[in-house]
Amino acid sequence: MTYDAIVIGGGVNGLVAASYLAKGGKRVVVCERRESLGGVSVTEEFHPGFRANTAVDDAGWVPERVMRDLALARHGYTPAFAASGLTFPVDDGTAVSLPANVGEAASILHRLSPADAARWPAFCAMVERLSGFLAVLYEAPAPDVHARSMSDILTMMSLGRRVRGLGKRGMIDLLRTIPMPVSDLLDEWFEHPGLKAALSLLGVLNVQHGPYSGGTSLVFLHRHVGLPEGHIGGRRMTPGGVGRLPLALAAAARAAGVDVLTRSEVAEIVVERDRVAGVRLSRGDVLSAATIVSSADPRRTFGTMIDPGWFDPGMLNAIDNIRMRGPATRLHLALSELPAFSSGGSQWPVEALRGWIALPRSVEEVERAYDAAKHGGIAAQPAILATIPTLDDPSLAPTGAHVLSVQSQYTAYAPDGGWTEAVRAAMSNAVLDGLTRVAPRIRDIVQHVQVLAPPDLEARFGVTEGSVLHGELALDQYLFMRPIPECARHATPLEGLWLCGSGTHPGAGTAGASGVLAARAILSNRRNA
Amino acid sequence: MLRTTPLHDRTAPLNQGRNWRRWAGFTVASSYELSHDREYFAIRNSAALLDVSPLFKYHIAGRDAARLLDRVVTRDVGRTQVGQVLYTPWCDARGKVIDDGTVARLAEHSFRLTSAEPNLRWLGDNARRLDVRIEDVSDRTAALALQGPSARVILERAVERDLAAVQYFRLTTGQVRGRDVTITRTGYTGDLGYEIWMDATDAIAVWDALIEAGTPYGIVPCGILALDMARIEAGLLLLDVDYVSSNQALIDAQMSTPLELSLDWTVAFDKPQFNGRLPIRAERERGPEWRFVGVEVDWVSLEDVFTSLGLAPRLPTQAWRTSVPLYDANGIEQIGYATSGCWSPLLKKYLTLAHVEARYSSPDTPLQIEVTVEHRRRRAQAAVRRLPFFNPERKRA
Repeated sequence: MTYDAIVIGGGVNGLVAASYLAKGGKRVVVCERRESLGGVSVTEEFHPGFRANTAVDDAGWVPERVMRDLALARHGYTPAFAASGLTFPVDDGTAVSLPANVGEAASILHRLSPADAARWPAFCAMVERLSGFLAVLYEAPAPDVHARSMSDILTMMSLGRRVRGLGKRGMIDLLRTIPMPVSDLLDEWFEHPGLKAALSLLGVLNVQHGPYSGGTSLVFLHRHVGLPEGHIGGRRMTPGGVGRLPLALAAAARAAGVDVLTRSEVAEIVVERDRVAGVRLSRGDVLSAATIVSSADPRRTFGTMIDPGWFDPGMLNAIDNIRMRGPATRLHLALSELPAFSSGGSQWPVEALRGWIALPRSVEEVERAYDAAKHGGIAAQPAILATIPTLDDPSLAPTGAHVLSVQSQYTAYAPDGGWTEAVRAAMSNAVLDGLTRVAPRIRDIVQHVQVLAPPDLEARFGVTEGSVLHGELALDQYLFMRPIPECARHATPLEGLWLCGSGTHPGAGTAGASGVLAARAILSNRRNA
Repeated sequence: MLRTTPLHDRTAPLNQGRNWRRWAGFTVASSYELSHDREYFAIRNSAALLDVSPLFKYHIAGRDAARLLDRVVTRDVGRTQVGQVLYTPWCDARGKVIDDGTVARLAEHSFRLTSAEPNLRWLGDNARRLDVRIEDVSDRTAALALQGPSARVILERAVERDLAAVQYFRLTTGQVRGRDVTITRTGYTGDLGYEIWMDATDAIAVWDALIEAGTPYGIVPCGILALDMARIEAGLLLLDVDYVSSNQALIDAQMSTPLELSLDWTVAFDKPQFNGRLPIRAERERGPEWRFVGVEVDWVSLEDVFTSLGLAPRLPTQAWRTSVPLYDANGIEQIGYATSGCWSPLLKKYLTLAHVEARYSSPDTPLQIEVTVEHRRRRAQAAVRRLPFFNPERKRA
């Protein structure tokens, strides 16, 4: 078969890129290795009758323009923002659950710290302002460092209308904030250790950095792109879980004329006469196209799919050196009933359980969990962020039963001694121990635990080192340095090969933002016109 | 501390002037006698024996060994036969030359690469997903060059067999006093000659055997000064002297492409892949901006410069390695620079190797060259010459 473009990978960015290319008049096929579309944004059965958001709890920010252009609402994706963000235990035995409403949240915080309560509205405004500026950056191609001087880049950045709103002061705030450790940022604003611990988890989500590491404030702000003011730790909720988004995207793609092939793993990108010519699927057939768009992560694309002889070895070194380092193990618990949560005092209200439940009592506890992984091990007391998706979407489990999903950090990708069954069991035990501190009887109602360590995520989703972000979000892997400067605008040095995955700008868990930029770059490329 | 080569026990007592120089971290003799004249004439008239052990040597073996080399070098290694040796440069992804050396196909899946500078990391970087082993054998492999018209007869005596069948840039194996050697018909003099590769522990025995076999034929241990003159006559370029490795260059203008070094013949454009292929091909289409040529300084003009100051002409007694400006025939515009030069006692000509703008590269194009006489910069007439300046039939016969 001959197409104009072949998109490798039917994840969110792959589907978005495919739709835009098809709308631009290209004949497009998407080749997905797995049976299900969505990449890491999937909701899958992990125990008979129980489904969970396998790899991520939030489908991420879909740029408004993508929602509109692809008519995602018409295709069934209508996310609502979660009414509550973070829940965390406090010393008096109760839990605090922060609603998205700024005023309500502030009055709840008043009980913990009047000072923190007073600062909450300004903090929410700051997060909204700075992450709103990032959103502007994320809707434009990465600055082109090869063509421009540093001062040009700053000028270009300042073109965004939000920057004019941000003003000089805001610009300074941004440049000062993003390299900061999230712990320092939170220390500047708040005093309550439990509040800071819960917030700090949002600065280290899926990155192999502790809250004391530089650049984690960027992760925190990045995480809030597209969320309205006050939605600290906010998530998008859709019936059916995060996997609803790729279903809508696939429907949009098919409506635009895209052929979507599942169980079609690309074994090799075929190169002829110095440019791409097509792909060979692992089952043997060859599809031809002059444009190949890979949504696989850059390490996987360059490291496994194409003859390295076509590239500068120096560039491939840079690709090899991209930090992937998925730090998280995902655990999904099939529960026969809703667990009772209490932390020494009264039972937490069910409403409190709708948020993201952050268990660490202090930022230091999170950092200590990171220490183990930093030295090649697995945290004995992992930092746990739990969610019970069945509270909002009972369809994910049999009647009366519930699912509890855990984002557990940190583990080294290749811990000393390797990932044995015993290590997985110990990890599962450590998480259950952690949960028992707030849900004392949870072990009694667990029917099944699925443990997905970084190598499991890698095998399942093809994400190198289990990095669901397709490369750590860090300042040296950001903007025009994502994935590497030579490929930051989605084109690669090999004619006809493009990257559209989360490993490219802006990537890192934004839903479709990379795909749309890649498609626009391809469509405006003179050679493809 | 600089290291000594496996032949130091023999070369040190011969070095009358303690005249050592550095080569790749080793000490080697500049000349053994107080003047290098006799060593130079041995290269051209009898036979010279040179310790070239400081060369970097890599053994590359495995199913994909040829494929690795074909990714790296510009010549077509896959098409060479076992027993063949190639001279070749290699480039970075931009087509800028990194280094040059020889590739010897020792067996179907076994090669030896020589280079002027370390290349182990670059080779490793190019070996992604290839079934190949790369080993730096520089330290355990010694190398001797036997160069000159009597080289064959001397070597035949040492290995006790006829070598007439070993053609130019071919190799054979043999034994010298029971020690295994690989013999390549290669060298850096542009003359009849061989290079002998052996285990470092056998080097002294092989040296002794060659000296013994060569003494009746006037063999002379020879240092780098004489070699440098011979290689200029032969038109062979030298890294760090005639060009700068793209690894070391500080600015683009310091780098050279194979076409700018007039190594067009070494570029196998029909190979599907090698580092720098597309930029070099594009350069071929538009024509290189620079060429590497021979430039001969006009004797009469040079003499005039000296006599105008009341001096007899003075000629360099050694090869020089500095950058000397070249101008167009009218002396108005600088159009290039010579990077090596020497008086050739054999040809009785003042020879230089030079980079010139491509439009000045045709043979016999008149130029001017800067000559410093009595602290003042003068110009002498010069002309572009075809390389090599000296190319005896015996080299290939």
